[in-house]
Order: sequence, then structure tokens, then C-alpha cells
Amino acid sequence: MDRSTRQQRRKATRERASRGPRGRQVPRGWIVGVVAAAVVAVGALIALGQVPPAAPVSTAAAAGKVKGDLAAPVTVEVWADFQCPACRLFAFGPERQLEETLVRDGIAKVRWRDLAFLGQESVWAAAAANCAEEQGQFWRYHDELYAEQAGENRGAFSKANLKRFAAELGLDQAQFNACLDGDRHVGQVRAETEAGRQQGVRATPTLFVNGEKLEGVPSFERLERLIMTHAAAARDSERMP
Amino acid sequence: MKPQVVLLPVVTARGVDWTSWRAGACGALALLGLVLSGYLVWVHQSGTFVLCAGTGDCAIVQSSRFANVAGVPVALLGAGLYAAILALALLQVRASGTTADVAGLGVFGLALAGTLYSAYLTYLELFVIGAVCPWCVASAVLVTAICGLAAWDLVAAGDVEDRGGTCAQA
Repeated sequence: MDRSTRQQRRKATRERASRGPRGRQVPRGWIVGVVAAAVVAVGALIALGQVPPAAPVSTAAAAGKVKGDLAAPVTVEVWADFQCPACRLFAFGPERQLEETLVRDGIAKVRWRDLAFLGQESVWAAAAANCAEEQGQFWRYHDELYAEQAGENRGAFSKANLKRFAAELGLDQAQFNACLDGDRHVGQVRAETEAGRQQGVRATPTLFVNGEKLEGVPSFERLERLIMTHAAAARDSERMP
Repeated sequence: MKPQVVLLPVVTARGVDWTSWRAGACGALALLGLVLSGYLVWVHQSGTFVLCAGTGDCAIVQSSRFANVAGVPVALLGAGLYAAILALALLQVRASGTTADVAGLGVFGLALAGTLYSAYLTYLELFVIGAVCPWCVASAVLVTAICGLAAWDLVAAGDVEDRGGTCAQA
């Protein structure tokens, strides 16, 4: 190896050393910028995620805890718990589709039944929904509860939060708070839950389509078929002399 | 004179290239992440229950209100993230010079954002929702690994004199 080659290598080594052990081709400023952008982007995502999703707006006519035409030939009885994630799936999925089709068309109606079996906050939430029902707002409150669902018995449905939901929906706060604090509907919720158990409801959601039991979240298509079958049967029985 | 290997050689189609090795690994992990998040997007869209290692926790997490950000499913955000990382990693492998550097930096930035957001989602699962979805944990591990590899690549870039990555002898 000649002398000039050795000198070139020493020069290259010095240049490498001058860049330090982490000498980069990518400018340090770019890296800092990318890290800052990543942090800002994640912060924005987290902030966006804090905004509760708007519950899908129900279009069906409602009377108390029944949605749809009371004279509809098919009744879909929904036993559910506001803390149950599968119930939320059903409410914002097949049930909403049902409201926009068969309920709207007067073929079926949906009747809510409380099976508040997942803990204290289930009972409070169900009682609060009944308090909202006193003001004719059961279904709006029902949607709000599912939109705010976050874990079981972790404070999402504390009484303070339940009152806040009512305020956000524009309910009469004095009336709602008195109802909730006075546990006006707790006994009714517990009694209905017990009645559900007596009927053999062991999980939520459980549906009864004109009495035919359906456990779990059915697809809309399956539910529609079942309702149409019962609607046809009801029609046939009406025609019978 | 006894030959001394300065850089451990990793042989790729383009010769010996450390950057390509790391970028290729990032791409492979991103592809895995894309498949995983694609499955979760499908589950979300179809309304079917997610396979969840025998627990119901995935359905709880997937149906929680945190599963969407401004109406966009988090799984879809993940799929987009992995697709972007995959594209940039492929660009990094194929390109050279500044283009490769910028692509590598892009992989790092996206993976860092993914890692930070995954950490937040894991916190939500543990302390707010009270259910842990193994698919989400797997995704968090993948994106963290990509972030680590991309950071390693950035740090090591200065040690490789030529981005072509030849194996030098002293």
C-alpha cells in the first residue's frame, strides 16, 4: 500500500470522525421536524377521538320505549344492557337498518326491554333512560348512552355523566336529576331484569320476534327474513274466517 | 496485510447493503401489518365478530366508541399507515441518494406516529375499555419494530460512507 493511499485513508477517517459516530446524511433538522410532525399528528388524532361520535339519527316514530307503529303486525322485543358492546353493535347496525325499512313501513315495531345485568352502572344507565322516557326522550337518550359506552363499570355511566348526557340532550335537568337521584326507576329496572331471566334471557342482546327467540347480534338479512315470515303468518291468520 | 471487514455484509439483489436490509424488513413488517389491519377493516365493515384467541375482548374493543376517529375506523387508519410505510420502504430499497434518505425518514416518521398512537390505544384498552384485543397488540408490536428499525437506519446512515453500501476492506 503506497504512501498516498494511506494518506487518503487517514483523511477519510478524519472526515468520518468529524461527523461524529452518528454522522448522518439526513440533516438533523429534518429528523427533528419529522418527530415534531409525528407528535402533532398523534395529538390531533387523540383530540379528534375525544369527540363522542354522533349517534345515528333515528327516523322511526317512537312512543315511550316502543319504536314504530303500535299496530305493526310484528314486534321485535330487544332485551339489552347499555353497557353491552354487542348491544351497541346491534343498536347502531341491524336495528337502525330495521328502523329505516320495516319499522318505517309499519311492518314491525321495536320494543326495548331492560336486562341490566352487567353491574351497577347498567342499572343506573337503564334507570336514567327511563327518566329520559318521562320526558319522551327515551330513544335519544338510548342512542346517547350507546355513543358514550366505554367499558363496564368504569365510570362512563356514573350518575354525574348520566346527568351530563341529559343536559347535552336538552332535557329538563331538574326533573331528570330528581328522577335519577331518587332512584325512581331502579326497582322497575331490577324487576324487568328479573322478568327477563325468568323468560330465559341469559345474554344480551336477545330478541324475541313475535315470541321467537334470537340470541346475539343477527345480520339484518336474517332479521328481515324472520320478520317477513312472521308478518306473512300474521296476515294469513287475519284472513282466516 | 490481513483483510478486515469494516461492515458486516448483507447480500441483497443490489449487492451488500445494510440500508436495504433494514428497509426490506420494514417493508415486510408493514405488509404483515397491512394484512392484519385489512382483516380488522373487513370485520368492522361486515359487522362479523372478530376471531379473538378465544376471548370476546376484540369485539368489545372493536365496538367501543374509540374504534372510530371522526367516523373513520381506526383499523382503516392502520391499514393506510401500513400501506404508506410499505410504499416508502420499497422506494427506499429501490432508490438511492436523497430519495432513499427521504423515504427512510418518511418510514421513521410514520412508524413513530403509529407507535405513539398505538401506545395511546393500548392505554385505552387497559384502563378505559377494560379489554385487550390481541390483534391490536400485534399491530402495536409491528409498528414499534418498524419504528426501531427505521430509527436504527437513520442513526446508522452516517456510518455507511456510500449509500450503495459496499463491503469495504481496511
